[in-house]
Amino acid sequence: MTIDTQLQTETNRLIVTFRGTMTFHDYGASDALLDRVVDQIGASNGAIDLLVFDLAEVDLIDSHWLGMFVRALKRAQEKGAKVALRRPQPSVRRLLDLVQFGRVFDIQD
Amino acid sequence: MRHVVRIDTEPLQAAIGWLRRGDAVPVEAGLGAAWQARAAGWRDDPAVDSACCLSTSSLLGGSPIEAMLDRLETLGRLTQDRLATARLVLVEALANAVLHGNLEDRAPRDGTAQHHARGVGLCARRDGEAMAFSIVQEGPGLAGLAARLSAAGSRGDTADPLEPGGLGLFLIARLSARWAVDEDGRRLTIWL
Repeated sequence: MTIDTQLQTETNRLIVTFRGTMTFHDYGASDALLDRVVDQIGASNGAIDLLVFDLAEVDLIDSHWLGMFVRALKRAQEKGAKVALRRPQPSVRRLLDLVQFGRVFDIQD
Repeated sequence: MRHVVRIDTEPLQAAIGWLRRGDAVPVEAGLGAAWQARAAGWRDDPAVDSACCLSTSSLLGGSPIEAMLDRLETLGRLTQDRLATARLVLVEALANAVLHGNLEDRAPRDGTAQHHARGVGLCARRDGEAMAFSIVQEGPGLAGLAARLSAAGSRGDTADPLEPGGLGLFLIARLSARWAVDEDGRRLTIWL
């Protein structure tokens, strides 16, 4: 594992905090995390309407995890929740801009 | 004097140690003679700064990329900006070689012992002012890799971010100065 994750809820938000390097080495972890997050949003019966991925302590994200963000966005929207990508480091922010995630995600610096 | 070393205990960690020291081309012991020969070729090439050959199973447990790039940084080969770009592009290329090449698009847990025993070679070579990174795998060649890289590189700014298929190839094509596919789709070289 090269990435650590922590989940916490704050009022209407489910916050997923990542620490480390997000690469294909955590191949299975991303799908398990996605299922867990979506289940938690669904179980809240609408109380959670914002899913936040906190990236402040992430130094690299590869295409596998970018794809996970997109899958999370689609599944969260099905549950009535929005998705935000929070506090990306400059190198990660440049990557998010390159793949134009600002068009579909709320990116919070 | 640089040499080829066969490593047979905790190969990834052993390779990382050798790569940081920079005086050998480490080759995982279980890989065949072809990998020994490839490593010897890299050893004998004075333009090669760092190279290694590891099995798929070792590369699923971690990555030698950081150690290779640390070596290149020590040698002053890449600026900080280019190092950050190299890190991402090499991760994408390694994922491509391991997941799509050697594992033939299987999830790692679904790969057979044969898939996991297949090797991957990584090589960083000076080429004028640029660094050329080669990533070689021994699965079936990736059919149409060059065509898909070309298409990914020409993906316009209006591409739909909600359709992330091919994103890895897009990043390789967009962030590299140029690239080449050889050895029937088994070898990808990226210039940065």
